[in-house]
Amino acid sequence: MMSIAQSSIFTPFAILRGLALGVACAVVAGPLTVPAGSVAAAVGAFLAAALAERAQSGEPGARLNVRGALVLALGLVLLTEVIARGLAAWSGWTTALGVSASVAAYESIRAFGVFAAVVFVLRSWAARSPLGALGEVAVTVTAVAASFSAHRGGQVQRPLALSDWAWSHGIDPALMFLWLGVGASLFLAALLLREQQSRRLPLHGIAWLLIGIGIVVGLRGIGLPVASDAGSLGLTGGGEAAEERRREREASDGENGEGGRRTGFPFEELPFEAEYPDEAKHAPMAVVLLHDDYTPPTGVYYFRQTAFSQFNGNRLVESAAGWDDDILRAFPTRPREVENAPGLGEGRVSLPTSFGLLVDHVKPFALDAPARVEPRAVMEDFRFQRTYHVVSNVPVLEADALLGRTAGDPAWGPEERAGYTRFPSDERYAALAEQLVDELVPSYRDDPFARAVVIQNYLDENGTYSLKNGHAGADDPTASFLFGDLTGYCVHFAHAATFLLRAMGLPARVAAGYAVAAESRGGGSAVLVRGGDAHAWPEIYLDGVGWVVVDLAPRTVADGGAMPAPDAALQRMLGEMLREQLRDVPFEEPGSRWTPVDLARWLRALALGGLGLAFLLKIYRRVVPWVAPESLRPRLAYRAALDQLVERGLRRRRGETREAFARRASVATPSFAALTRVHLRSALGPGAGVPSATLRDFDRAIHRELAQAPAWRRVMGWLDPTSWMRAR
Amino acid sequence: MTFEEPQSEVNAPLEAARQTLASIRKRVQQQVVGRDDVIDLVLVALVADGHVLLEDFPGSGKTTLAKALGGAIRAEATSLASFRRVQFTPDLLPSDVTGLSVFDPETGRFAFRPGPVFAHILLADEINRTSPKVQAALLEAMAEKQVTLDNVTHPLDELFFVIATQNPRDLVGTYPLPVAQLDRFLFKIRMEPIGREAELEVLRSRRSRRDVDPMDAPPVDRSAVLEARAAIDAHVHVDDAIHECLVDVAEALRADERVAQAASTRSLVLAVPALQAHAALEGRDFVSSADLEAILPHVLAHRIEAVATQHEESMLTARDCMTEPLERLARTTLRGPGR
Repeated sequence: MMSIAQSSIFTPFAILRGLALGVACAVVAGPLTVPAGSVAAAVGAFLAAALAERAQSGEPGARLNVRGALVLALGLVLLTEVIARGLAAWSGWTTALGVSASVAAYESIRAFGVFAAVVFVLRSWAARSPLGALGEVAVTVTAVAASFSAHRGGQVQRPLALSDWAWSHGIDPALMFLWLGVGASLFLAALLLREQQSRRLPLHGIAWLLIGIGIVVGLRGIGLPVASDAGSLGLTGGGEAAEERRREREASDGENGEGGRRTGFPFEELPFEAEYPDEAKHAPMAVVLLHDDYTPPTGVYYFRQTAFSQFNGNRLVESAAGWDDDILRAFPTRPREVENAPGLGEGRVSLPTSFGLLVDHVKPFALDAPARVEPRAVMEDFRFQRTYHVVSNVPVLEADALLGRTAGDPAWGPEERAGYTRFPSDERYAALAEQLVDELVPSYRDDPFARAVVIQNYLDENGTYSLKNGHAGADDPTASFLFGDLTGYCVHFAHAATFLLRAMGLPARVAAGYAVAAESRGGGSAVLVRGGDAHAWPEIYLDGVGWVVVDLAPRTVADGGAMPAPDAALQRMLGEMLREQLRDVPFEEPGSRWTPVDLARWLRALALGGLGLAFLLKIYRRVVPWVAPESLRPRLAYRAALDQLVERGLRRRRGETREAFARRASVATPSFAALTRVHLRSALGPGAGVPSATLRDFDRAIHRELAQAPAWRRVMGWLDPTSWMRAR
Repeated sequence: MTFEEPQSEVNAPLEAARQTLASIRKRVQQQVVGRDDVIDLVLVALVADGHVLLEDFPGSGKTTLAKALGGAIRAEATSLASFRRVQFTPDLLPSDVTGLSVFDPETGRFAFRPGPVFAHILLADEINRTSPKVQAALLEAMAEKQVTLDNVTHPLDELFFVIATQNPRDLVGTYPLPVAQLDRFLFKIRMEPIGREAELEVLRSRRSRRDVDPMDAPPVDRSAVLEARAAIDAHVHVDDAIHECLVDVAEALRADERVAQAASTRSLVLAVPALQAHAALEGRDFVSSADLEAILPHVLAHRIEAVATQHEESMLTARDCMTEPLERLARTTLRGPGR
């Protein structure tokens, strides 16, 4: 190692290249190992680059060849593996370091070995041949770009500053991040490629472009990792807490969770967090198409996903007894009518809606009350995780029409009716409920909806909306909230209202899903649902109407208040994308919009078309001498020979006469000089053609002579689509 | 195995011409070692009916070359020598070159005594050492192939080839040839020092060259040279693309800022036979870009010397100006019929 630092190969450029390789290896190692392993990979890559540089800097005869490098690298991998395993098996080591440190050490040693070996081989190869330089770049770019696009674990919405801009300009953020990754790594590749031989450049330029296109095309074909969680009350089923709960339940139940986290019920109650995550609120979660103009009387679209109605003595949980049959329990697999859906004519109208989920969810959600659900196939477009179609019988009754109705459904059994009114035994609920009922004018004291409104008013007046609260640790967080500082977020308010409603004897529940203000639709037919729209709200059941939302809007907002309206262009664009994908509604846009994605597609098509054309012409020029008229054959045969020479890297210099070029090329192909004379005689001489058979012999002889070139050069020659353009 | 083109390429008169040139070349090569490129240029000039100006230091083999060439050609008329040499000095008179009228007491009339120009090969040694008057007399003879004395014109032989020499150094007391007179020479050849091996060979073969058997490569008849000249003129094809390339080069020279006065149209006309001769020497029956590359710089360099005083610079300029036209010519050959 000492001699490395002293030798002259340690130029600033070599150091820069080593650093670049180190960074690339750290990025690639990131998802594969612990952070310490990532650092070890970077260090290993840097040292390996320096070593390879040194091994290639000697006299031509004394340089390490690729086979030798491969053997050395294999040896290194084996050695580090043996050391790592040996240490892991030695109990004294583990006791001395502690478990986590010894795991880190194990991972670091292995990562060091593997990445150092790979970089050593790549660097040695690159220093020895142009093909190797390409290989090095291809491996680096592919690894880095793939890691970059996979790095976010699908959280393509972040960083928001970039992705929001992308969304609102009609660019898929996943694609944008991918391009950024490709761009960044191509820059790295440019650094790697800055070899002394400038003649490599055109070849490398092409290869570079092909790598970039290949990655994008490849990843588009395979698909990108997708977002799974946005901290949205657990509606998407992600999040570590939900995951943990699911695992615990699976472990305790012993059941193997048919279908895992999507079909099961990963959370049975709403989380009372001490601090509700506020990060991904702008992330688009879904887009909903309304196939009819509909504005709910409450001014808010409530997309209900689930409801918590069963009081288990401690919390409200999802009913295990089959209540809440208006909830869609699972994504539809075939068209299905929802049983016991509230009929039309009872203050409800039918509204067909389509849903496109950008993030997968545990369960579907829909406008109250779904009557028919249909699955929709997901097209090859990876944008929508899931699409489905719901016909909902949506409420149109204004608030005053809800007065004078009785609570509960006569069809309910006594068990179900009792279940909807069970609440904690804390006396303060009943006391507060009584106090609130007393505030009502006597004529409305027995009206269920009026009672709901008075509770709503009480909480709105006195509550403070805040994402941070001190109730998370309490035995009954709802009581802590309601009889404490009245500061909390929707989950607290919804529970408090529900328990108060139940204390008044009204059947009530907490529903969860997304609430989107009607005005954010802005007159279009698409409704954008974002992470921050996740919401929980109380509902009461009125006979003849069904579940009625009694949402709360505290006057005082400490933090995390209402979200700004979504970007209208983004909302419309996503709506159009969904409409286009569903295809059941013919989609036509006057004057189609042009996006950078279109440009990328065009460029790709253009590049592929150009490539195809180039290869066709290349083949044509090789074949045409043998089908052309006799008089043209010498010239065309000569041109075909020129093409072959270019493929082997022999090209006439500017101003060089054909004879001089033939002399220069005669080292590789002596027959070419004779063909040159034949050609010149036919072009400048008095005429008299040469028999085609002779030309054919020339062609064969030249081909045979050129076949002496090394295999890689021949392969590169065949693959180069531009060779014929450079023949002159 | 390497494929060679069919041998039937060159027709019979051309083949004979080539044989003639080859035997002259062989004979000269026996005497002059390590100067094959100069020998070829001199042969080209001989066939193209031009004259050459050799520029080199004394003792570099100029005279040997000229003598060998003279010895390779057999004079047919008794009145003509195949080789003459004139050492030019400041006190030389024109009549020393051209000949003079002498009073013959027997006939009582003036009779013409031919000078050294009445030969096939004339070596004009150190031409810049003599007065412009003598230079003019020689140059007139070179251009007109005749000598006028006392209003009587005496024609020179059709095969009249001058090899003039001058020393590039030691210029004190010399009369440098003006460009107009340099224009009379087809080539100005700078003889580079020969290689080490060639120089050793000169020393080793000293005796064998002196005792060379003339029958080993017999001299060529004057008429054979003239026939060769005619055959090459008639049978070496000059494509129009070559003409275009020549004009392109001339235009490029005129456009070049290093050149004050570019090559004349006459020089282009003179260049064509030289190109043909070179093609024939190479065994071709058509003029090609290789001929241009080999011959044209030597034709052009000394004609543009007025600005670029160094010969090397002129050669460089001429080569520079040929790059684009040669490129165009090379591309032309790849174009289809009609071009």
